[in-house]
Amino acid sequence: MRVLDGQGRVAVADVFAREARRRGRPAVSAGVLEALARDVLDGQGRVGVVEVLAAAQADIEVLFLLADFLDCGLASPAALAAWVAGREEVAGEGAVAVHSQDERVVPEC
Amino acid sequence: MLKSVNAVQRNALGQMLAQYVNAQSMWPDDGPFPVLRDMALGRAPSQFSDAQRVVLRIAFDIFDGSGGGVTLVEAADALAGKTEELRSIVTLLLALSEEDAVGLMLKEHGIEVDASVDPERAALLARGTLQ
Repeated sequence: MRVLDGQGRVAVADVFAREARRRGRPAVSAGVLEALARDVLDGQGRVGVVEVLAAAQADIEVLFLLADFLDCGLASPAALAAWVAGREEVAGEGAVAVHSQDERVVPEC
Repeated sequence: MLKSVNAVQRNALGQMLAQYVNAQSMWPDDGPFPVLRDMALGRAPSQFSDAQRVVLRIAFDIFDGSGGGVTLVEAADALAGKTEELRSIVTLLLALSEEDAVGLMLKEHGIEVDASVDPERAALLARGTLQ
């Protein structure tokens, strides 16, 4: 991923890999997240956007994770750092961000 | 393949993404103009930026699965910092959160999907394989 430096790639890949391993994660979305982590690290594009969309359809947590990454994380380098920090905070609490059925709006960046 | 999204809706999703790059006039109800694909793939001159072309290629990928084969890494590189183009993909993601959300999102974009249209016929028409 050219928009990230080495440290940024590792941080983003860690987030995707950690989310892939989360207990209860369906195998399909876990596989896509693991592949995304590898893609981010080595810059090789293996996972297509449509494939990601399909995985997100099957796993609402992945859907919001990716929406948040695209909407907030890619806005600027500072926004990306904030996104990574936010995901680490969630992981540290051992909880998954829960979104209600009505919460279609990605949180403000 | 996206679940619970039929061929007519895939065409409509392409129309919606085309709106974000101001190319809606080139993506009518019966499928996109071929020149739009050529422009998206860089095979024809266009005014589209790299980010806008990536959005269009994703639209074609959704539409027929054979557009440009855009990967998420490629999309992230092309769309980073491009608010409007990122918003188009995020809108699409959120629309997939529930079964009826696609129709609602399309309606919000002024796109009415005709439920009476045969999805298979629409797909063939869109691919130009039905005379």
